[in-house]
Amino acid sequence: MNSSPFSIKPVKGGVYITPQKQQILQRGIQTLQLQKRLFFPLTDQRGQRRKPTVDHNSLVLKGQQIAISSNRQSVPIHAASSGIVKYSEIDNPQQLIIETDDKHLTVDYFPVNNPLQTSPRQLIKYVEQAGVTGMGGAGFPAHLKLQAALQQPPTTLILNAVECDPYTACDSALLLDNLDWVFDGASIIKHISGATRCIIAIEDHQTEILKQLQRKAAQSDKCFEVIAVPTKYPSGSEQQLVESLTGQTINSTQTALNVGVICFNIATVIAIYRAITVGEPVVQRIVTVSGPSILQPSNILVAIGTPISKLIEACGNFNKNITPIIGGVMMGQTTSISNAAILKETYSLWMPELEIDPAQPQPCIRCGDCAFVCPSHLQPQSLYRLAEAQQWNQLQQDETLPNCIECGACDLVCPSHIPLTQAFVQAKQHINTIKQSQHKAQHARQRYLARQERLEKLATLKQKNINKRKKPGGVHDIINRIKNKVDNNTDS
Amino acid sequence: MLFASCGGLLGYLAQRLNKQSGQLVDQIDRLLPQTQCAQCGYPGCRPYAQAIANGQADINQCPPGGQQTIAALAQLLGADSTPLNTQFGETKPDQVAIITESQCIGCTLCIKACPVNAILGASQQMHTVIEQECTGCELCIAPCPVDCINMVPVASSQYE
Repeated sequence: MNSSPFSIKPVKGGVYITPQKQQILQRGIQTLQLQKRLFFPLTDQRGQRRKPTVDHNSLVLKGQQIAISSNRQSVPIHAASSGIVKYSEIDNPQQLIIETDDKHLTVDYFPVNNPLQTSPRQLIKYVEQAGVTGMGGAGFPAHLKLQAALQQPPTTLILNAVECDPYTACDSALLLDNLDWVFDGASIIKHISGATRCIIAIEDHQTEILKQLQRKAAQSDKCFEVIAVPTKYPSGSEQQLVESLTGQTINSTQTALNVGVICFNIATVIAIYRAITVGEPVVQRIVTVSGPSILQPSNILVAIGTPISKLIEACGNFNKNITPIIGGVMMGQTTSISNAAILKETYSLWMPELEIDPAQPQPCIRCGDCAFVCPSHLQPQSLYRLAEAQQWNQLQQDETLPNCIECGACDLVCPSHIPLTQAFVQAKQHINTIKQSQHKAQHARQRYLARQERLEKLATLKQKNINKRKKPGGVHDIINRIKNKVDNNTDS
Repeated sequence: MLFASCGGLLGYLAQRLNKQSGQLVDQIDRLLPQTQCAQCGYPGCRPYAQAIANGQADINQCPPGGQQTIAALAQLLGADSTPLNTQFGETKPDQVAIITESQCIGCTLCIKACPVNAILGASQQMHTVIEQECTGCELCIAPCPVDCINMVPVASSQYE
């Protein structure tokens, strides 16, 4: 092991699950043939809407931009194949569908020839145009992370190759095949962010990759360090990894940059590298398909937009009625959409066993196991009690619930089978809705008060005008005088 | 001398208590849903808050706020949470007004009725509701001479 100023403190809590990746890795990376129809949802994970940049029924080439977001919070998406674009609805499409042809026509890519001599801002623009997002599941736009690094330069770049999900091996496969790209990509990111050292973190059971990495790191600059992290779930989560490498805790309001670190997943590093040196947008990725219902668990290179069902078909599944879990066995979620497609951040599909009735939750026995395994220093049992009692204010206080990373470790160890994570996710959603409605109410109040003020001003103005008219010499005065005269005349 | 000091003290207290009641109105107002729908019998959320602070109105007169608002008000005022007085209306899911633009005659009556200026338009010109600003108060429905305003439920997810 290289001598390192970073003491590797194992992640607090967590659970050990025997990793089962060798079988997947032995099979290598397989390629799924291009499907007839590719699906591209226009709303991203965080609810940002994108606008199509191509017309219904128009021809697109592979790599062509097909939708962009109006603000820079969301990245553009690109056609993963040449073909004809169809809107799902003509008026207000929810997704774009590409009916692929087999001509394999590609747009011209414009690479940067000398990335290390190009200004960071220029490079970030390339990353943005290529639509690179965090490919380890979070889907956070890479250009925003890099831009933040310009404001707050980090000292250390961490390449996160810790795939703590025990049945996911897509990053490991990528590393095995593209070591050079990873190191070159890391050099470019170091150039953009200004970080001086680079740590490649990987789980200690991946001995083969570890060896190769160390050999490669010894050949290249001194600034590359390879660190083996103890195998434990969820040590690959960004917050947890940064904490175990630097000893500094990040809470939900901070980012890794607050402790001088910038962290990228391996697949993202390669995507950034390809975006800059080839000019290629993100149009494909590697997905691990595994689970007890899968005949041949494997890593598959697949075009973005491919329907999930096709991918599972290709790996052979025992039972067609099982819905896949997207995003790993621990943190994944089942999807309700029948034609859900592979997104840039979909790293794993897990096919569970034949659906067995989940164990009925029993009352909490206050054993404290959940607090012991919680990697975010939380007390899940008391948070659960607060969520049950709908004490939303208290849940938000002291930054407790927002710090939950929804890893599911507490669910796994709970002897009473209480669905803790589910309760936390729902509580978070509830708090979010309350916040939104409060925000809306505040806005409505301001508009109401502004209108009241305007109406009052108008009323006083009107009153003033009336008063003006009543001044001596005004029309009213003359009328009154005439009236009086007429009255006097009739009297006499 | 005694009377003067008493008078001074009373004056100070009156001012201070008045200030406190102003704060109370603010606090109550903050808990109300700000639909400005006037279903409570007062011409807006703030007047209702004022009435509650003065002890002239009950805390269970706000249908859009529903039980949640009543509970929050009860907690603030140290009162008992009571069920919503359905005489003032029933709690409905969030909604917004939509003008059928082909039928609009441009009379501006709805614009005048809207408590939050969420309707855009001019005399003899077609009007339209700014969806993000609409609180769903229904105050524009009654004045419309051609009945071209309808309430629709808010889309479950709004993108801003």
